[in-house]
Amino acid sequence: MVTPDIARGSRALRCVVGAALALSLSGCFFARVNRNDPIDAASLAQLVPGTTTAQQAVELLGGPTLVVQLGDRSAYRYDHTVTKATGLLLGIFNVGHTDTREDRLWLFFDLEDRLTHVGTSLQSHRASYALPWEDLHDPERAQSADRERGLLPQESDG
Amino acid sequence: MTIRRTLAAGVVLLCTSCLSLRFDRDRVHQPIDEAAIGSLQPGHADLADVLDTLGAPTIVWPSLNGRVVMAYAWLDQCGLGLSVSATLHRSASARVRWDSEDLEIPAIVVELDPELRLQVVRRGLLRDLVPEPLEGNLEPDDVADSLRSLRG
Repeated sequence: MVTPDIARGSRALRCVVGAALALSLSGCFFARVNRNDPIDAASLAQLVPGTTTAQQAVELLGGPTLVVQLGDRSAYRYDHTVTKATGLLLGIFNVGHTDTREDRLWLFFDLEDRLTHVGTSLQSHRASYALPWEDLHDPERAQSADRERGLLPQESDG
Repeated sequence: MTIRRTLAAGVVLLCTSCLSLRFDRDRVHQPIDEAAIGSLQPGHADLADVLDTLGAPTIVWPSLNGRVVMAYAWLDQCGLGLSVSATLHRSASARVRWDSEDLEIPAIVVELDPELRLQVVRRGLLRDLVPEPLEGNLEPDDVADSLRSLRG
């Protein structure tokens, strides 16, 4: 004969075993991968079109990751990539997300290897650990990240 | 009895992780703002305007007649996946995997004349916009490296 106490105990034991099983089968992970060195925003101010030469640019920034010959002109590419990966493991159902952002710099030189144009996109700091349904391209979120990196002035309290 | 066996088989499958479902999302770079693209007038804008408005391109390569072509690419893709694996022998295992993803990279391509004045702005998929083979000294491996970064 099964008494109410034994039945309650058995149900509680099943719950504990069920919860333990669910816990053992679930988990999460975070990973970060960096490629190349970050581009220093401060050193970009030292690049002056019409004045800076290719040699000076290389002394300042190091060797480019890619050089493209454009007829008489040439273009140097510098990049730094950050990938942040997030995963949620729920038994047999797994959710994964990766966010990859890049600092990218293109320097254009003329026939005499003198700098003519600079193209810059600094976004590696905007890479986020997030889940697939999160909005990562929200302008406020981007501005906040830019402010943390010092690309935008800090907000005043007033 | 059949229900119990089915449940037991399900538990075994779960515990051995031989069956898994995946939902993935990959986001690479930020999409280019349509309003910014619209502000670039072919025939009037030059390389400096393009770089100020769109930032640094993903790839640059020379085209015919001394033209310069630049591509801006990004990726935001979701995919479902199912994989089933089984141990066949102590030293052998098999895995079957199915993915719904088909890599399609949206891009904006701008073409500048030899005086670096904007001539054309094209939108579409990168694989349709980037010619094969490329002109100039750009090696296919260089382009592949640039594109590989898009996959994270």
